[in-house]
Amino acid sequence: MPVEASWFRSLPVFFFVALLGYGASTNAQETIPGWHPNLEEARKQAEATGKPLFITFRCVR
Amino acid sequence: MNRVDIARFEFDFDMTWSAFFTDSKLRIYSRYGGRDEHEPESRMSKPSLLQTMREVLAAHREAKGIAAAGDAVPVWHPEPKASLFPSDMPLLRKNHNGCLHCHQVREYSVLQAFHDGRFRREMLFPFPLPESAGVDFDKAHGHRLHNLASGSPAESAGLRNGDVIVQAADVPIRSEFDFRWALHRLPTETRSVPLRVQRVTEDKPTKTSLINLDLPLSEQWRFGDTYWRKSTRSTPVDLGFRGAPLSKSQRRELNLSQEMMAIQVFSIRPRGFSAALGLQKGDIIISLAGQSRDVTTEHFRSDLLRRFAPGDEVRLTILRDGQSLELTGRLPDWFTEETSVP
Repeated sequence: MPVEASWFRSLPVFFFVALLGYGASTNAQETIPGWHPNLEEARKQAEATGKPLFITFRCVR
Repeated sequence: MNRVDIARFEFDFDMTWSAFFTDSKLRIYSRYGGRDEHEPESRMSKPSLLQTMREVLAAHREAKGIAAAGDAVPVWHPEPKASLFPSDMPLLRKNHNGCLHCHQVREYSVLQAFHDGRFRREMLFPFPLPESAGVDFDKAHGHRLHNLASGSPAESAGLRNGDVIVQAADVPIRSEFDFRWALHRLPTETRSVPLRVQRVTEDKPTKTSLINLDLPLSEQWRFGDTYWRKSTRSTPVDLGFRGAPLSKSQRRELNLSQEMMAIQVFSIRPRGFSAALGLQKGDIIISLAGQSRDVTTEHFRSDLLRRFAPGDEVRLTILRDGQSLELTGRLPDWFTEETSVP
């Protein structure tokens, strides 16, 4: 699962988008295929696959 | 943040990380994240994120099958009436170039509101904590109640430990941050919020039932600590002084406790709050309206704005030339000369 403590310690802002595994096990690490830096591309993929979106905003130094 | 629709993706901009779960039309199932005065990740946990993910997937399945209707918990968060982009704020468009930090979005929102004459005190207190509404969530779950105090207003309203809040006002709750957003959207004068809670049936632990009740809110529910928020540096309030807490050795020399307030004024601009109360350079502030605890200048300002509104009478106890004095005056109206943020 792409959630690490280091994610929370970061500052310019950008977002990552990931498709959340849908209808799969509760172990999200195995089901998240990857992160997309482009919201529109991810949105189109979500539409095509029927999956929900996991959109994160983080501050990085 | 330059190209982010901040009406749709509204979150606590004084944060280091925040997340949204949406469908392909960007309708929001849940918000996750937020922070408080402690560590940036102190309100989050992997178990609670997984819990939210499970609930989002269930809502997503439900959304594909049916439209929420009648008495059902809404599938999506309420939609904004219109999009809003940072560049829609004239001050930001005029004065800011390059990458835009989250806290700068909030600072420009406040500055723009002030210069447009629509600034309101509650803008300084976004995303209230659940504790301000008298409830505490299990960190490993996110929106399941625990540590409910016996005799508390929440308990008197009918809430029990173990209840899972699944809706607050018109917002479906799938995380603690959803609940904070629901509070954030309420008018400050609100004195109770309708809740829907999921409760395990006593004789059948595998079954749950939905219960409707109203959670009472205190008069001060919105006004939490803001000293940790970077965006508060753009608050349109003119203290008219700069100061800093005394060191331990300075306190010992003056026979002041290490635990009490002791903020020394080291520069004065004779206007705003300092002028209203008659503060002078060298004064040591030892109490704000009867409360004295060791705080930074930022914390002092947060306490001042939390407890008082413009026009309210404020009482300070100070030490001046070794003598204790009481100063009183009214908190001045909102004011700033700033039109940009650093």
